[in-house]
Amino acid sequence: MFLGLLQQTAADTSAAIIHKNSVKFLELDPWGIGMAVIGYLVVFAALLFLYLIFANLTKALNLNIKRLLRREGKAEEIKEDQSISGEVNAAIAMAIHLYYSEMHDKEDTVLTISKVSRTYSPWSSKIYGLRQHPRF
Amino acid sequence: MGNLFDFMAHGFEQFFQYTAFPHFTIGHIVMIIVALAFINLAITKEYEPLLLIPIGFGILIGNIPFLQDANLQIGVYEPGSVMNYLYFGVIKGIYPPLIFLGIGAMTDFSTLLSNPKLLLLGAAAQLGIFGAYIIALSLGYLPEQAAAIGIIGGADGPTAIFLASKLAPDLVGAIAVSAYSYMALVPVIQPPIMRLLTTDKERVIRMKPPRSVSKLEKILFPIVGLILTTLISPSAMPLLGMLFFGNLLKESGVTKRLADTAKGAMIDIVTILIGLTVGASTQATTFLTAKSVGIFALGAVSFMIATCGGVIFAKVMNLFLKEGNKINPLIGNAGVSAVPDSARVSQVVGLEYDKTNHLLMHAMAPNVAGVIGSAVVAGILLSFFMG
Repeated sequence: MFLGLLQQTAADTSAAIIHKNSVKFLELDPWGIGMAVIGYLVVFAALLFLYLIFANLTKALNLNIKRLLRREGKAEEIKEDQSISGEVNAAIAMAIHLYYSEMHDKEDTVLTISKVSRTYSPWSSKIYGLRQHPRF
Repeated sequence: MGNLFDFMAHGFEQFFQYTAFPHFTIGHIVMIIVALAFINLAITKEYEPLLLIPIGFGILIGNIPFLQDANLQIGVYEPGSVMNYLYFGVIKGIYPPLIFLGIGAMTDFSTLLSNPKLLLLGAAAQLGIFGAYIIALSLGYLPEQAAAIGIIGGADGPTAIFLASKLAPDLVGAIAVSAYSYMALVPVIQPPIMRLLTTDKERVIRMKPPRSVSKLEKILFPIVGLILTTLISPSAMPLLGMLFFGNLLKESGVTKRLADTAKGAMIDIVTILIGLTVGASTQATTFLTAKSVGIFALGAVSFMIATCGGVIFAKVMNLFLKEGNKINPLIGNAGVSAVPDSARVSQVVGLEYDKTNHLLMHAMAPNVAGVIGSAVVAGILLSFFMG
Protein backbone atom coordinates (compact mmCIF):
# COMPACT_ATOMS: atom_id res chain seq x y z
CA MET A 1 0.00 0.00 0.00
CA PHE A 2 2.84 2.32 0.92
CA LEU A 3 4.59 1.46 -2.36
CA GLY A 4 1.38 2.16 -4.29
CA LEU A 5 1.03 5.52 -2.55
CA LEU A 6 4.62 6.34 -3.36
CA GLN A 7 4.10 5.44 -7.04
CA GLN A 8 0.93 7.54 -7.15
CA THR A 9 2.79 10.49 -5.64
CA ALA A 10 5.59 10.11 -8.20
CA ALA A 11 3.05 9.99 -11.04
CA ASP A 12 1.31 13.11 -9.70
CA THR A 13 4.65 14.91 -9.49
CA SER A 14 5.53 14.02 -13.12
CA ALA A 15 2.10 15.14 -14.30
CA ALA A 16 2.53 18.43 -12.42
CA ILE A 17 5.95 19.01 -14.01
CA ILE A 18 4.62 18.21 -17.48
CA HIS A 19 1.68 20.57 -16.95
CA LYS A 20 3.97 23.36 -15.71
CA ASN A 21 6.25 22.98 -18.75
CA SER A 22 3.27 22.76 -21.06
CA VAL A 23 1.93 26.10 -19.81
CA LYS A 24 5.39 27.60 -20.25
CA PHE A 25 5.59 26.28 -23.82
CA LEU A 26 2.18 27.73 -24.67
CA GLU A 27 3.32 31.12 -23.43
CA LEU A 28 6.77 31.21 -25.00
CA ASP A 29 6.35 29.10 -28.14
CA PRO A 30 2.63 28.92 -28.97
CA TRP A 31 3.24 27.72 -32.57
CA GLY A 32 5.85 25.15 -31.61
CA ILE A 33 8.37 26.44 -34.16
CA GLY A 34 11.12 27.01 -31.59
CA MET A 35 10.79 23.52 -30.14
CA ALA A 36 10.64 21.95 -33.61
CA VAL A 37 13.77 23.74 -34.77
CA ILE A 38 15.75 22.89 -31.62
CA GLY A 39 14.56 19.26 -31.64
CA TYR A 40 15.34 18.79 -35.32
CA LEU A 41 18.78 20.32 -34.95
CA VAL A 42 19.56 18.14 -31.93
CA VAL A 43 18.58 14.88 -33.66
CA PHE A 44 20.57 15.96 -36.70
CA ALA A 45 23.55 16.78 -34.51
CA ALA A 46 23.34 13.39 -32.77
CA LEU A 47 23.30 11.42 -36.02
CA LEU A 48 25.85 13.72 -37.70
CA PHE A 49 28.17 13.11 -34.77
CA LEU A 50 27.67 9.37 -35.14
CA TYR A 51 28.33 9.63 -38.89
CA LEU A 52 31.55 11.58 -38.41
CA ILE A 53 32.82 9.13 -35.80
CA PHE A 54 32.07 6.05 -37.88
CA ALA A 55 33.24 7.48 -41.19
CA ASN A 56 36.63 8.19 -39.59
CA LEU A 57 36.74 5.11 -37.38
CA THR A 58 36.33 2.89 -40.42
CA LYS A 59 39.16 4.68 -42.21
CA ALA A 60 41.37 4.38 -39.12
CA LEU A 61 40.62 0.67 -38.75
CA ASN A 62 41.33 0.01 -42.43
CA LEU A 63 44.61 1.91 -42.25
CA ASN A 64 45.61 -0.13 -39.22
CA ILE A 65 44.79 -3.42 -40.97
CA LYS A 66 46.75 -2.34 -44.09
CA ARG A 67 49.76 -1.39 -41.94
CA LEU A 68 49.69 -4.74 -40.15
CA LEU A 69 49.41 -6.66 -43.43
CA ARG A 70 52.28 -4.67 -44.97
CA ARG A 71 54.42 -5.39 -41.93
CA GLU A 72 53.70 -9.09 -42.33
CA GLY A 73 54.58 -8.86 -46.01
CA LYS A 74 51.06 -9.63 -47.19
CA ALA A 75 50.52 -6.40 -49.07
CA GLU A 76 48.96 -8.28 -51.98
CA GLU A 77 46.07 -9.32 -49.70
CA ILE A 78 44.96 -5.71 -49.38
CA LYS A 79 41.86 -5.34 -51.49
CA GLU A 80 40.78 -1.81 -52.22
CA ASP A 81 37.28 -2.70 -53.30
CA GLN A 82 35.50 -4.71 -50.66
CA SER A 83 32.03 -4.10 -52.01
CA ILE A 84 29.45 -6.73 -52.82
CA SER A 85 27.40 -6.06 -55.94
CA GLY A 86 23.64 -5.77 -55.86
CA GLU A 87 23.29 -8.86 -58.07
CA VAL A 88 25.34 -10.94 -55.63
CA ASN A 89 23.24 -9.68 -52.73
CA ALA A 90 20.06 -10.45 -54.63
CA ALA A 91 21.35 -13.96 -55.43
CA ILE A 92 22.24 -14.57 -51.77
CA ALA A 93 18.82 -13.30 -50.68
CA MET A 94 17.11 -15.53 -53.24
CA ALA A 95 19.12 -18.55 -52.09
CA ILE A 96 18.20 -17.92 -48.46
CA HIS A 97 14.56 -17.39 -49.44
CA LEU A 98 14.51 -20.65 -51.38
CA TYR A 99 16.22 -22.47 -48.53
CA TYR A 100 13.62 -21.29 -46.05
CA SER A 101 10.68 -21.74 -48.37
CA GLU A 102 11.84 -25.33 -48.94
CA MET A 103 11.13 -25.99 -45.28
CA HIS A 104 7.43 -25.68 -45.91
CA ASP A 105 5.21 -25.95 -42.91
CA LYS A 106 1.92 -25.80 -44.74
CA GLU A 107 1.43 -29.43 -45.63
CA ASP A 108 -1.74 -31.21 -46.47
CA THR A 109 -2.41 -33.33 -43.44
CA VAL A 110 -4.92 -35.56 -45.25
CA LEU A 111 -2.98 -38.75 -45.88
CA THR A 112 -5.67 -40.95 -47.36
CA ILE A 113 -5.34 -42.13 -50.94
CA SER A 114 -7.99 -40.60 -53.11
CA LYS A 115 -9.78 -43.16 -55.19
CA VAL A 116 -9.83 -42.53 -58.90
CA SER A 117 -12.30 -44.59 -60.82
CA ARG A 118 -11.37 -45.27 -64.41
CA THR A 119 -13.24 -47.56 -66.68
CA TYR A 120 -10.22 -48.08 -68.87
CA SER A 121 -6.64 -48.72 -67.82
CA PRO A 122 -3.74 -49.89 -69.99
CA TRP A 123 -2.82 -52.28 -67.20
CA SER A 124 -6.01 -54.14 -67.62
CA SER A 125 -6.27 -53.78 -71.38
CA LYS A 126 -6.09 -57.05 -73.29
CA ILE A 127 -4.72 -55.42 -76.39
CA TYR A 128 -1.28 -54.94 -74.81
CA GLY A 129 -1.14 -58.64 -73.91
CA LEU A 130 -1.45 -59.70 -77.57
CA ARG A 131 1.19 -59.73 -80.26
CA GLN A 132 0.82 -56.82 -82.65
CA HIS A 133 1.11 -57.93 -86.27
CA PRO A 134 2.86 -55.33 -88.36
CA ARG A 135 0.77 -53.98 -91.23
CA PHE A 136 2.33 -53.27 -94.56
CA MET B 1 -46.58 -19.42 -7.79
CA GLY B 2 -46.74 -15.71 -8.64
CA ASN B 3 -43.73 -15.13 -6.42
CA LEU B 4 -41.79 -17.76 -8.32
CA PHE B 5 -42.58 -16.08 -11.65
CA ASP B 6 -41.60 -12.69 -10.25
CA PHE B 7 -38.35 -14.20 -8.99
CA MET B 8 -37.63 -15.83 -12.36
CA ALA B 9 -38.49 -12.65 -14.26
CA HIS B 10 -36.25 -10.66 -11.96
CA GLY B 11 -33.49 -13.25 -12.38
CA PHE B 12 -33.74 -13.08 -16.16
CA GLU B 13 -33.76 -9.31 -16.09
CA GLN B 14 -30.71 -9.27 -13.86
CA PHE B 15 -28.97 -11.81 -16.09
CA PHE B 16 -29.85 -9.72 -19.15
CA GLN B 17 -28.23 -6.69 -17.53
CA TYR B 18 -25.04 -8.70 -17.11
CA THR B 19 -24.95 -9.65 -20.80
CA ALA B 20 -23.38 -7.36 -23.41
CA PHE B 21 -26.62 -6.67 -25.32
CA PRO B 22 -28.15 -3.83 -23.27
CA HIS B 23 -24.82 -1.96 -23.20
CA PHE B 24 -24.07 -2.04 -26.91
CA THR B 25 -23.72 1.37 -28.52
CA ILE B 26 -23.05 2.49 -32.09
CA GLY B 27 -19.49 3.19 -30.96
CA HIS B 28 -18.95 -0.44 -29.99
CA ILE B 29 -20.22 -1.58 -33.36
CA VAL B 30 -17.92 0.88 -35.15
CA MET B 31 -14.94 -0.37 -33.16
CA ILE B 32 -15.81 -4.00 -33.87
CA ILE B 33 -15.93 -3.17 -37.58
CA VAL B 34 -12.51 -1.50 -37.25
CA ALA B 35 -11.20 -4.64 -35.52
CA LEU B 36 -12.54 -6.86 -38.28
CA ALA B 37 -10.96 -4.56 -40.89
CA PHE B 38 -7.59 -4.87 -39.12
CA ILE B 39 -7.82 -8.65 -38.98
CA ASN B 40 -8.92 -8.75 -42.61
CA LEU B 41 -6.02 -6.52 -43.73
CA ALA B 42 -3.58 -8.69 -41.79
CA ILE B 43 -4.83 -11.97 -43.23
CA THR B 44 -5.75 -11.08 -46.80
CA LYS B 45 -3.18 -8.36 -47.58
CA GLU B 46 -0.56 -9.52 -45.05
CA TYR B 47 -0.09 -5.93 -43.84
CA GLU B 48 1.92 -6.20 -40.59
CA PRO B 49 0.03 -9.33 -39.48
CA LEU B 50 2.16 -9.76 -36.35
CA LEU B 51 0.80 -6.44 -35.09
CA LEU B 52 -2.58 -6.07 -36.70
CA ILE B 53 -3.89 -9.46 -35.57
CA PRO B 54 -3.13 -8.90 -31.85
CA ILE B 55 -4.34 -5.27 -32.04
CA GLY B 56 -7.45 -6.21 -34.02
CA PHE B 57 -8.33 -8.99 -31.62
CA GLY B 58 -7.56 -6.69 -28.70
CA ILE B 59 -10.04 -4.16 -30.10
CA LEU B 60 -12.64 -6.94 -30.22
CA ILE B 61 -11.90 -7.84 -26.59
CA GLY B 62 -12.02 -4.21 -25.50
CA ASN B 63 -15.30 -3.52 -27.22
CA ILE B 64 -17.47 -6.27 -25.86
CA PRO B 65 -19.51 -4.07 -23.51
CA PHE B 66 -20.32 -5.12 -19.97
CA LEU B 67 -22.10 -3.79 -16.92
CA GLN B 68 -20.03 -0.94 -15.57
CA ASP B 69 -19.76 -0.25 -11.83
CA ALA B 70 -20.50 -3.89 -11.03
CA ASN B 71 -16.92 -4.50 -9.93
CA LEU B 72 -16.56 -7.35 -12.40
CA GLN B 73 -12.86 -6.56 -12.80
CA ILE B 74 -12.71 -7.51 -16.46
CA GLY B 75 -12.09 -4.28 -18.38
CA VAL B 76 -8.64 -2.99 -19.22
CA TYR B 77 -9.28 0.20 -17.23
CA GLU B 78 -10.66 -1.57 -14.13
CA PRO B 79 -8.05 -1.87 -11.38
CA GLY B 80 -7.44 -5.48 -10.44
CA SER B 81 -8.45 -7.03 -13.76
CA VAL B 82 -6.05 -9.29 -15.64
CA MET B 83 -6.13 -6.96 -18.65
CA ASN B 84 -5.35 -4.03 -16.38
CA TYR B 85 -2.28 -5.82 -15.03
CA LEU B 86 -1.11 -6.56 -18.56
CA TYR B 87 -1.83 -2.96 -19.60
CA PHE B 88 0.48 -1.83 -16.82
CA GLY B 89 3.41 -2.65 -19.12
CA VAL B 90 2.07 -0.15 -21.64
CA ILE B 91 1.24 2.74 -19.33
CA LYS B 92 4.51 2.43 -17.45
CA GLY B 93 6.54 2.12 -20.65
CA ILE B 94 7.88 -1.36 -19.82
CA TYR B 95 7.12 -3.14 -23.08
CA PRO B 96 8.72 -0.70 -25.57
CA PRO B 97 12.29 -1.10 -24.25
CA LEU B 98 11.87 -4.88 -24.28
CA ILE B 99 10.78 -4.71 -27.91
CA PHE B 100 13.81 -2.53 -28.64
CA LEU B 101 16.02 -5.22 -27.10
CA GLY B 102 14.62 -7.71 -29.58
CA ILE B 103 14.92 -5.26 -32.48
CA GLY B 104 18.56 -4.66 -31.56
CA ALA B 105 19.23 -8.40 -31.54
CA MET B 106 17.62 -8.71 -34.98
CA THR B 107 19.16 -5.69 -36.66
CA ASP B 108 22.21 -5.84 -38.85
CA PHE B 109 23.84 -2.41 -38.96
CA SER B 110 26.37 -3.49 -41.64
CA THR B 111 24.81 -1.46 -44.46
CA LEU B 112 24.79 1.60 -42.25
CA LEU B 113 28.42 1.06 -41.27
CA SER B 114 29.46 0.59 -44.88
CA ASN B 115 27.91 3.94 -45.82
CA PRO B 116 27.55 6.00 -42.61
CA LYS B 117 26.40 9.15 -44.41
CA LEU B 118 23.01 7.46 -44.82
CA LEU B 119 22.54 8.05 -41.08
CA LEU B 120 21.58 11.59 -42.03
CA LEU B 121 18.54 10.35 -43.94
CA GLY B 122 17.34 8.79 -40.69
CA ALA B 123 17.62 12.21 -39.09
CA ALA B 124 15.96 14.03 -42.01
CA ALA B 125 12.85 11.86 -41.89
CA GLN B 126 12.21 12.94 -38.31
CA LEU B 127 10.78 16.09 -39.89
CA GLY B 128 7.42 14.33 -39.76
CA ILE B 129 7.46 14.35 -35.96
CA PHE B 130 8.07 18.07 -35.68
CA GLY B 131 5.74 18.93 -38.57
CA ALA B 132 2.90 17.02 -36.92
CA TYR B 133 3.78 18.67 -33.58
CA ILE B 134 3.32 22.15 -35.09
CA ILE B 135 0.06 21.19 -36.81
CA ALA B 136 -1.31 19.51 -33.67
CA LEU B 137 -0.53 22.62 -31.63
CA SER B 138 -2.32 24.82 -34.14
CA LEU B 139 -5.35 22.51 -33.91
CA GLY B 140 -5.59 23.15 -30.19
CA TYR B 141 -3.90 20.10 -28.68
CA LEU B 142 -1.85 20.77 -25.56
CA PRO B 143 1.92 20.85 -26.19
CA GLU B 144 2.55 17.52 -24.45
CA GLN B 145 -0.29 15.91 -26.40
CA ALA B 146 1.04 17.41 -29.64
CA ALA B 147 4.47 15.95 -28.90
CA ALA B 148 3.01 12.50 -28.21
CA ILE B 149 0.95 12.70 -31.42
CA GLY B 150 3.90 13.95 -33.47
CA ILE B 151 6.00 10.92 -32.60
CA ILE B 152 3.65 8.82 -34.77
CA GLY B 153 5.64 10.33 -37.67
CA GLY B 154 8.69 8.45 -36.44
CA ALA B 155 6.85 5.32 -37.61
CA ASP B 156 8.00 3.46 -34.59
CA GLY B 157 5.20 1.85 -32.55
CA PRO B 158 7.21 1.11 -29.37
CA THR B 159 8.67 4.64 -29.33
CA ALA B 160 5.23 6.16 -29.84
CA ILE B 161 3.82 4.10 -26.96
CA PHE B 162 6.81 4.90 -24.76
CA LEU B 163 6.49 8.66 -25.26
CA ALA B 164 2.69 8.74 -25.12
CA SER B 165 2.68 6.75 -21.87
CA LYS B 166 4.86 9.42 -20.30
CA LEU B 167 3.41 12.59 -21.81
CA ALA B 168 -0.25 11.84 -22.59
CA PRO B 169 -1.31 8.55 -20.96
CA ASP B 170 -4.96 9.10 -21.88
CA LEU B 171 -4.05 9.11 -25.58
CA VAL B 172 -1.86 5.98 -25.59
CA GLY B 173 -4.51 3.77 -27.23
CA ALA B 174 -5.31 6.19 -30.04
CA ILE B 175 -1.65 6.99 -30.70
CA ALA B 176 -0.57 3.33 -30.71
CA VAL B 177 -3.39 2.22 -32.98
CA SER B 178 -2.72 5.13 -35.31
CA ALA B 179 1.06 4.45 -35.40
CA TYR B 180 0.66 0.75 -36.10
CA SER B 181 -2.10 1.31 -38.65
CA TYR B 182 0.01 3.70 -40.68
CA MET B 183 3.07 1.46 -40.33
CA ALA B 184 0.98 -1.25 -41.94
CA LEU B 185 -0.08 1.19 -44.64
CA VAL B 186 3.46 2.31 -45.52
CA PRO B 187 3.27 0.51 -48.91
CA VAL B 188 0.17 2.56 -49.71
CA ILE B 189 1.19 5.97 -48.30
CA GLN B 190 4.79 6.29 -49.41
CA PRO B 191 5.07 5.35 -53.14
CA PRO B 192 2.97 8.25 -54.54
CA ILE B 193 5.01 10.78 -52.54
CA MET B 194 8.28 9.17 -53.67
CA ARG B 195 7.22 9.31 -57.32
CA LEU B 196 6.02 12.89 -56.96
CA LEU B 197 9.29 14.16 -55.51
CA THR B 198 11.76 12.39 -57.81
CA THR B 199 12.64 12.63 -61.48
CA ASP B 200 13.05 9.67 -63.87
CA LYS B 201 16.80 10.21 -63.88
CA GLU B 202 17.04 10.18 -60.09
CA ARG B 203 15.00 7.01 -59.75
CA VAL B 204 17.53 4.97 -61.72
CA ILE B 205 20.63 6.16 -59.88
CA ARG B 206 22.80 3.14 -59.11
CA MET B 207 24.41 3.33 -55.74
CA LYS B 208 27.85 2.01 -54.95
CA PRO B 209 27.42 -1.52 -53.55
CA PRO B 210 27.90 -1.73 -49.78
CA ARG B 211 31.32 -2.95 -48.70
CA SER B 212 31.80 -5.85 -46.32
CA VAL B 213 32.06 -4.71 -42.71
CA SER B 214 34.52 -6.16 -40.20
CA LYS B 215 33.42 -7.81 -36.98
CA LEU B 216 35.30 -5.20 -34.95
CA GLU B 217 33.26 -2.40 -36.52
CA LYS B 218 30.06 -4.27 -35.82
CA ILE B 219 31.02 -4.73 -32.16
CA LEU B 220 32.14 -1.14 -31.74
CA PHE B 221 28.94 0.30 -33.23
CA PRO B 222 26.54 -0.51 -30.35
CA ILE B 223 29.05 0.62 -27.73
CA VAL B 224 30.06 3.88 -29.40
CA GLY B 225 26.51 4.45 -30.65
CA LEU B 226 25.06 4.14 -27.16
CA ILE B 227 27.61 6.46 -25.61
CA LEU B 228 27.26 9.13 -28.30
CA THR B 229 23.49 9.19 -28.62
CA THR B 230 22.70 8.98 -24.92
CA LEU B 231 25.22 11.69 -24.14
CA ILE B 232 23.12 13.96 -26.34
CA SER B 233 19.73 12.59 -25.35
CA PRO B 234 19.93 10.73 -21.98
CA SER B 235 16.13 10.55 -21.73
CA ALA B 236 16.17 8.06 -24.58
CA MET B 237 18.30 5.69 -22.49
CA PRO B 238 15.59 3.03 -21.91
CA LEU B 239 15.07 2.69 -25.66
CA LEU B 240 18.58 3.23 -27.02
CA GLY B 241 20.19 1.30 -24.17
CA MET B 242 18.11 -1.76 -24.93
CA LEU B 243 18.49 -1.38 -28.70
CA PHE B 244 22.27 -1.26 -28.59
CA PHE B 245 22.45 -3.90 -25.86
CA GLY B 246 20.44 -6.28 -28.03
CA ASN B 247 22.74 -5.53 -30.96
CA LEU B 248 25.84 -6.23 -28.90
CA LEU B 249 24.32 -9.57 -27.85
CA LYS B 250 24.05 -10.39 -31.55
CA GLU B 251 27.36 -9.05 -32.78
CA SER B 252 29.58 -10.19 -29.92
CA GLY B 253 29.11 -13.75 -31.15
CA VAL B 254 29.49 -15.18 -27.66
CA THR B 255 25.94 -14.64 -26.39
CA LYS B 256 24.02 -16.41 -29.11
CA ARG B 257 21.56 -17.92 -26.65
CA LEU B 258 20.67 -14.53 -25.19
CA ALA B 259 20.40 -12.96 -28.64
CA ASP B 260 18.18 -15.81 -29.81
CA THR B 261 15.88 -15.36 -26.82
CA ALA B 262 15.76 -11.57 -27.24
CA LYS B 263 14.89 -11.74 -30.94
CA GLY B 264 12.72 -14.84 -30.66
CA ALA B 265 10.50 -15.86 -27.79
CA MET B 266 10.87 -12.66 -25.77
CA ILE B 267 9.96 -10.17 -28.48
CA ASP B 268 7.09 -12.43 -29.55
CA ILE B 269 5.67 -12.51 -26.02
CA VAL B 270 5.97 -8.75 -25.61
CA THR B 271 4.48 -8.15 -29.07
CA ILE B 272 1.47 -10.28 -28.14
CA LEU B 273 1.00 -8.44 -24.84
CA ILE B 274 1.50 -4.95 -26.25
CA GLY B 275 -0.71 -5.57 -29.28
CA LEU B 276 -3.53 -7.16 -27.34
CA THR B 277 -3.60 -4.62 -24.50
CA VAL B 278 -3.25 -1.59 -26.76
CA GLY B 279 -6.12 -2.96 -28.83
CA ALA B 280 -8.19 -3.61 -25.71
CA SER B 281 -7.57 -0.06 -24.52
CA THR B 282 -9.60 1.31 -27.42
CA GLN B 283 -12.96 0.92 -25.70
CA ALA B 284 -15.54 2.86 -27.69
CA THR B 285 -16.59 4.83 -24.61
CA THR B 286 -13.12 6.30 -24.15
CA PHE B 287 -11.66 5.95 -27.64
CA LEU B 288 -14.25 7.26 -30.08
CA THR B 289 -13.78 10.95 -29.54
CA ALA B 290 -13.01 13.89 -31.80
CA LYS B 291 -9.49 13.84 -30.35
CA SER B 292 -8.89 10.28 -31.54
CA VAL B 293 -10.15 11.11 -35.03
CA GLY B 294 -7.79 14.10 -35.03
CA ILE B 295 -4.91 11.85 -33.97
CA PHE B 296 -5.62 9.54 -36.90
CA ALA B 297 -5.59 12.44 -39.36
CA LEU B 298 -2.41 13.88 -37.85
CA GLY B 299 -0.76 10.45 -37.97
CA ALA B 300 -1.25 10.28 -41.73
CA VAL B 301 0.06 13.83 -42.15
CA SER B 302 3.16 13.11 -40.07
CA PHE B 303 3.95 10.00 -42.15
CA MET B 304 3.68 12.03 -45.34
CA ILE B 305 5.89 14.83 -44.02
CA ALA B 306 8.45 12.28 -42.80
CA THR B 307 8.56 10.64 -46.24
CA CYS B 308 8.98 14.04 -47.91
CA GLY B 309 11.75 14.93 -45.44
CA GLY B 310 13.76 11.81 -46.24
CA VAL B 311 13.36 11.98 -50.04
CA ILE B 312 14.07 15.72 -50.27
CA PHE B 313 17.13 15.45 -48.03
CA ALA B 314 18.55 12.67 -50.23
CA LYS B 315 18.21 15.04 -53.19
CA VAL B 316 19.93 17.80 -51.23
CA MET B 317 22.78 15.45 -50.31
CA ASN B 318 23.22 14.60 -53.99
CA LEU B 319 24.05 18.26 -54.67
CA PHE B 320 27.21 17.82 -52.61
CA LEU B 321 28.18 14.29 -53.62
CA LYS B 322 30.49 13.32 -56.46
CA GLU B 323 29.27 11.28 -59.43
CA GLY B 324 29.46 7.62 -58.47
CA ASN B 325 28.73 8.37 -54.82
CA LYS B 326 25.25 9.73 -55.41
CA ILE B 327 22.26 8.48 -53.44
CA ASN B 328 19.10 7.22 -55.08
CA PRO B 329 16.43 9.47 -53.49
CA LEU B 330 14.01 6.55 -53.49
CA ILE B 331 15.75 5.31 -50.33
CA GLY B 332 14.96 8.58 -48.53
CA ASN B 333 11.52 7.31 -47.53
CA ALA B 334 13.21 4.56 -45.51
CA GLY B 335 14.31 7.18 -42.99
CA VAL B 336 11.01 6.54 -41.23
CA SER B 337 11.71 3.63 -38.97
CA ALA B 338 9.04 1.18 -40.09
CA VAL B 339 11.56 -1.67 -40.38
CA PRO B 340 11.75 -3.25 -42.91
CA ASP B 341 8.56 -2.15 -44.64
CA SER B 342 9.74 1.26 -45.78
CA ALA B 343 13.02 -0.24 -47.08
CA ARG B 344 10.96 -2.80 -48.97
CA VAL B 345 8.94 0.05 -50.49
CA SER B 346 12.21 1.61 -51.76
CA GLN B 347 13.15 -1.71 -53.38
CA VAL B 348 9.75 -2.23 -55.00
CA VAL B 349 9.48 1.33 -56.35
CA GLY B 350 13.13 1.22 -57.51
CA LEU B 351 12.53 -2.01 -59.43
CA GLU B 352 9.60 -0.42 -61.25
CA TYR B 353 12.08 1.89 -63.03
CA ASP B 354 15.11 -0.40 -63.32
CA LYS B 355 14.62 -4.13 -62.99
CA THR B 356 18.24 -4.71 -61.99
CA ASN B 357 18.67 -1.88 -59.50
CA HIS B 358 18.32 -3.45 -56.05
CA LEU B 359 17.87 -0.73 -53.43
CA LEU B 360 16.92 -2.89 -50.45
CA MET B 361 20.41 -3.17 -48.99
CA HIS B 362 20.97 0.58 -49.30
CA ALA B 363 17.53 1.42 -47.91
CA MET B 364 18.14 -0.67 -44.79
CA ALA B 365 20.75 1.89 -43.70
CA PRO B 366 18.42 4.90 -43.33
CA ASN B 367 15.79 2.49 -42.05
CA VAL B 368 17.80 1.43 -39.00
CA ALA B 369 19.11 5.00 -38.65
CA GLY B 370 15.46 6.04 -38.41
CA VAL B 371 14.99 3.74 -35.42
CA ILE B 372 17.88 5.47 -33.66
CA GLY B 373 16.64 8.89 -34.80
CA SER B 374 13.09 8.46 -33.56
CA ALA B 375 14.33 7.18 -30.18
CA VAL B 376 16.60 10.24 -29.90
CA VAL B 377 13.65 12.53 -30.72
CA ALA B 378 11.54 10.77 -28.07
CA GLY B 379 14.33 11.49 -25.59
CA ILE B 380 14.51 15.14 -26.68
CA LEU B 381 10.74 15.61 -26.28
CA LEU B 382 10.79 13.90 -22.89
CA SER B 383 13.57 16.14 -21.66
CA PHE B 384 11.66 19.21 -22.89
CA PHE B 385 8.53 18.35 -20.97
CA MET B 386 9.82 16.44 -17.96
CA GLY B 387 12.98 18.41 -17.40
